[in-house]
Formats: sequence, C-alpha cells, structure tokens
Amino acid sequence: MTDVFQDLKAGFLEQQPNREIRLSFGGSQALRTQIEHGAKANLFVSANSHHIKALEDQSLIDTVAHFAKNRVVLATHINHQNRIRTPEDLLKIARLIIGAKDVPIGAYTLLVFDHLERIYGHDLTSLLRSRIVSHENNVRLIRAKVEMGEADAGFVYRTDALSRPELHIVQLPSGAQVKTPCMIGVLNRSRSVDESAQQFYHYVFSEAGQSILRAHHFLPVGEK
Amino acid sequence: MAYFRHNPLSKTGLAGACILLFLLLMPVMALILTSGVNEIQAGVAHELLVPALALTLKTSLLSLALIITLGTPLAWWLSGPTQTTGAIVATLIQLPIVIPPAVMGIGLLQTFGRNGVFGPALDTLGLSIPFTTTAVVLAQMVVSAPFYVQAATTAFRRVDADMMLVARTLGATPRRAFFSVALPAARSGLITGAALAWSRALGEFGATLLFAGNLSGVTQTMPLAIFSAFESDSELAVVFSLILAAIGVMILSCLLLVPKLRRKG
Repeated sequence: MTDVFQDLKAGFLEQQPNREIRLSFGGSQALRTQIEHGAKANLFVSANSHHIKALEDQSLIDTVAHFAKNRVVLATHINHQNRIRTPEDLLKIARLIIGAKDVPIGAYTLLVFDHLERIYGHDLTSLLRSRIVSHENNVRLIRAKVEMGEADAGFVYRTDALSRPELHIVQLPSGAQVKTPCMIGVLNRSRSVDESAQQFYHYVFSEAGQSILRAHHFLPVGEK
Repeated sequence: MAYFRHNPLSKTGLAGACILLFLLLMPVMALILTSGVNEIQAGVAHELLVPALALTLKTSLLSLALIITLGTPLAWWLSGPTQTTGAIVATLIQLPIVIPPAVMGIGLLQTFGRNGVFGPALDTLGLSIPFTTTAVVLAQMVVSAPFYVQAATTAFRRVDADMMLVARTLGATPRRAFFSVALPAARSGLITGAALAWSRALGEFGATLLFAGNLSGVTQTMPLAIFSAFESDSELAVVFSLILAAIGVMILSCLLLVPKLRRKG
C-alpha cells in the first residue's frame, strides 16, 4: 500500500493543493493497536478484514468500503522463470517463503494452498509445504528475499510482484486464484470531521484515484 | 572501599536521575500491570513459546561461547601497547553497535547468502546458511560480540603490567602468565562483558529477521516469536516479552552475583 498511497496523496494534493494529508505506514496490527490507544487518525486502510472488523466492533470505525482488489500470486526471480511452468514444476522450488498465518498475505496464501490441494492432491501440497523456509511478517520481506535470490519463490500480492522487474509471476490454475479486498475505513476518533480526510476518501474512489490504483496494478472492485 | 563512598546529589541531579529511572522502569512496570493472570496462562501454554524459548537459549548460549572463545584473544591483543593497527581494528569492531541490526542482516546475506560474496564457494561445498539455525547464531554473534570485546579489552588494560612481568621473571610462559595472572585479574570485567553480550544476543531481532528468517523451531527466536505474536494478539506479545525479560533478569543476576558471592565466601 505504501507506494500507491504516496502517489494517491501526490495526485490528491495536485487537485487540492491547500489540503494536508499525513500518511503513516505499518502492519495492520500495529496500526490497529495505535488507533486503539488513541492515535488521532481519520482513515484506516488495510487488506485485513479481521482488523477492520475489530475496530468496527469497538465502534472506532464508522463506515468501511472496498476501494480495490488484489490477488495472491507466486513470484520467482526472472532467472528461474523458465523453470517453473507446470504444477509439477512447483516441486523444483527448494526454498519457498510465505507470509505468517496471522498477517493477511499469509492467511490468503493458506487459502491458495487449500485450493492447490483440492486440484492436485495432498502429496504435492505437503511436499510444497516442506519447502517453506520462512514465515515472514510482511510481504515486503518475502519479496526482498525472492528478489535477492535467497529464496526460489514466494507468495506475494500481484501488485508487489508486478512492481519489480526482477520478479516473474508463475501462473496458478484458475481454481487456485485468491482475490483479496483492499478496504478503507473512516475512523470516528477525531470529534470534528476532518475535511481533508473526507475529500481524500472520495478521491480514492474518483476516476483519478482509481487510475493511480490501476497504474500500481490494483484491480478495480467490480472485476470478478 | 564501597562502604566509605558517599556521592551526594543536588536537588536537580536527584530530579534528573528520577526522571530517567521513571522512563526506564515505567514501560516494563506497565507491561506487568496490564497483563492479567488469564493472559499469562494463555501465553505460557501457547504453541510458539516452548520452541522459541528453547531455540533462543540454545543459540544465544552457543553465540556466547563462540564470542568468548574468539573474542578473548582479540581483546587481549587489542589491550596491548597502543599501535595504529590495533586502534583501527578497535574502532572497526564497534561498527556493528552503530549500524542498525537489520542492515547487518542484509550485510550477512550479501556475505553468506546464495548470491553473496561466499555464496558460490559455500554452494560448491553443499553448504547453505540463510534460513538455518547457524544463521541465527551468526546474526547474534555479529551484533553482540563488540560488547564483549570492548569490555574485555578494557578489563585486560587494567591488568597490572608489573604482575605480568613478575610472573614472567618467575619463569611462567606467556601462556601460563595469561591464564594464571591476566585472566583472573580481568575476571569481573570479562563477566560483565559476557553478560552484556549475552543479553544483546537474547534480544537480537533485526539481523535474524533478515538473515535467518522466521520458522518455528528452526530460526524463530523469542524476539521473532514476539513480533509474530503481535500480528495475531498484542496481549500475547506482551506476555512473551515478559517471559523473555524474566528469564533474562534471572540468568543475568546469577551471572553477576555468583562471582561476588564466591569472592566473599
């Protein structure tokens, strides 16, 4: 989310130069904890419905909307791109990195594994699982280690894989595709409604905002 | 000598000292106060705890043993008569203290990783270090060894040169003089340095995260387990932290108290 929101901010400020937007990036859990402890934020963006829900349950969020979609993909270094083509080739992966089960990318990756197991059976997936060398706590760490060639492949978001020329996306069968929602919530922590935050919220959904999201390879909400 | 010392503080000095004490102790107190019995029970029973704790103790003690074995001769050499090479080396080995551990982790990957400087050589030997327990130990050594070497160098510098000379004139070999005069004389400084290095290794996070990764039972030490727990449940992370802190305090106080008691006895 980091890169795209910096661009969204820049695009918004071009339209409305007198506004002020301050962005704070972190893992969903860290940001949620900050909000629960009184951080005076106006908007909360997350790919993790669990943390959004938790803030909703505490009445800290008023409204939530999906502003884009992403997808889980298997990324390899471009040097390996011809090695992994068929499902059996997945077993050429000696070192696989996935997200920890408690971070969104990890939870979604487990869904991909479930789908793969349904399609190719238990043997292939359990072998694939045995190749996992690390459960990273954020997608950037997974990506960096695949990029550096320390791991052969890693499950990341499509947007993360496409933003790096060193990475190649391995086509997963259509039955194993997992779409992920990107959500934005309006927080009610600040008593007075912040005009800049409201305008920015609308900007994310506007044609200009959506085209920035597309440029960063996010999928529009309507897409199946 | 300690009995005769009295260091009175002015009011401003006292106020300053109290502010710092408050800042240092309050976060730990707050962690203790905010965790209830239920959370602590849930934390102790958690599946990640035992493997992480065992791995942390195993790797940090192994790192400490290696640091002492390799760091003591280095410190002995550095404590010798001042020479340019020694001064440069003494400065260079402090670098890991200043450089953020995460950056040291990247440096370790670029040294021992697949595409690192020694990657191809290690590969021909069939060795691969990243994502293994060996990587955890290396990460801990790199970030904590400077603390031991620094303390040991200072301790060796305080060893009375005359005593060493007397030992040598009485016919002791340099080796014998080192083990029977220098080492006992520097003992308390060495122990302090070892305790410092060991506690730094216990809490090592950044370099491990990048160089070794995060896999329960293999590379997931307590700090990484705390980081992982934080993603699911911040209460759990607090309990894990308290357990790590409690163990740290226990072992450190043993390490620092035992030599004092033995000297009195």
